[in-house]
Amino acid sequence: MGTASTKAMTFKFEAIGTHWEIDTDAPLDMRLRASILVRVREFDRIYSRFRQDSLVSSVAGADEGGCFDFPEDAPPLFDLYDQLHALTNGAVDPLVGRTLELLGYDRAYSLKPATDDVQRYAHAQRPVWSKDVIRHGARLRTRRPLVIDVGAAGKGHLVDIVTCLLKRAGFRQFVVDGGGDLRNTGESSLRIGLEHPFSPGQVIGVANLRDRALCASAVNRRAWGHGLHHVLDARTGTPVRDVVASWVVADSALLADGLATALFFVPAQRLAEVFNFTYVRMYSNGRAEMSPTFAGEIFTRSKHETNLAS
Amino acid sequence: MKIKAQFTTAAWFTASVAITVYSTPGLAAPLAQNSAANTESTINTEGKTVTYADGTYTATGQYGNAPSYITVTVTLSGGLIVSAKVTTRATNPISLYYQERFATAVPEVVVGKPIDQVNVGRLAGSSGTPSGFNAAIAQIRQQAASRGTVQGDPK
Repeated sequence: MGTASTKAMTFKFEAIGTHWEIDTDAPLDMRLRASILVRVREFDRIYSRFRQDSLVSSVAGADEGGCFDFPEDAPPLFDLYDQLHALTNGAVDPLVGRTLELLGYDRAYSLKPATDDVQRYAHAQRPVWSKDVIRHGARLRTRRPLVIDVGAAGKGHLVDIVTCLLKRAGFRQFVVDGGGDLRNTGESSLRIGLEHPFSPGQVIGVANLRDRALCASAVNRRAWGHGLHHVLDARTGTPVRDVVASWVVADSALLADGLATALFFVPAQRLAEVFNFTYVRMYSNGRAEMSPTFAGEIFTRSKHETNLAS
Repeated sequence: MKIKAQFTTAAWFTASVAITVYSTPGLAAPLAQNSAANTESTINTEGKTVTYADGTYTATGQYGNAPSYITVTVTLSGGLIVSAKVTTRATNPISLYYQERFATAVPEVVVGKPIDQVNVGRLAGSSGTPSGFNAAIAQIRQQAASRGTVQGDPK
């Protein structure tokens, strides 16, 4: 409430495969818009594994491996991956995606779920972030072709990077929304609907976000309803079935994004020992849990029964 | 009239549907400042001009590798999606299992509320890219374009 009134301008663009909106209380001039777009494109050119000219594609194409210098935005991202990789016992792993694709994962899994052969082969062949990549700061060394997929935290990181640009330009009250992963900067609070992972047009709750980031992860984001989706457990190569959606509020969108993925694999308590965050997590049986200090509510039958009876 | 919009980007389409469907004041984000009562609109996409006729369109999209379908019904007016409805229909046992399970299990504990009944400024979550949805939208785009003008061979 009240935030709609502060929202004066919205700058919209497409980047890294999603729709972005930036709400500001004053117009963004052409130069700032241009520098945002340039910065975002630069990020894409480094981290997009869908672009042949990206740095991660060079890493993927290096038959003998090699030494790759990432830009200075890389260490925070890779540091978080290091931590999440350790805390989830390897379930979060930027090297997970392509291995499974190369194995014909989709086909094998959907036609004959999780055959032992597929799993054994995947297990034997898969590269592991903590072993197959040697990293010093922004420099990565590899010994074979590796596909790095920063999907679990990259978008959040970019939301932070764009936030930084706006802060530097003097903006104090604004929202950066990178396709549903967002960061609200400033003192005014923003009510944000938590999208129902399986019912388009519905929300399962609301978060009140003030000067923090809120990121979501859900199994329906790609290939939904099928037992086949993008949240893969790197250790088994199978989709996670228990958790179906998660929302995390944290100081940075990078952290919120990464934790939203990690919550699919480990108890929140484990992550809470290391990171400061609040969360909502929804399971495949329709239960949802909310951390006690989460600023917001989830809609449950008991609370809203009367409203919905019709 | 030319509308600055990328009809080619699947993610854009999803996002804009999400925005217009919810019809929350302040969230509504038309493609462009579009004068109110057009009967059709012309979209310039990568040099090609396509005209979309107003009307209601239905298409079915396939998702996943096995035959599972969602049906998307979209109403276009003046180049904007003014309403959209998605129904799921699974024929493959795994999907059916999932859809049924979610259909019955979710409301028991977490209750989804229509977004327009909830006062929110933004949405966090997964309007990302259900591929079947985008496939259906692509068909609707074709239907709307061929019912419009320009592209020749009207049915």
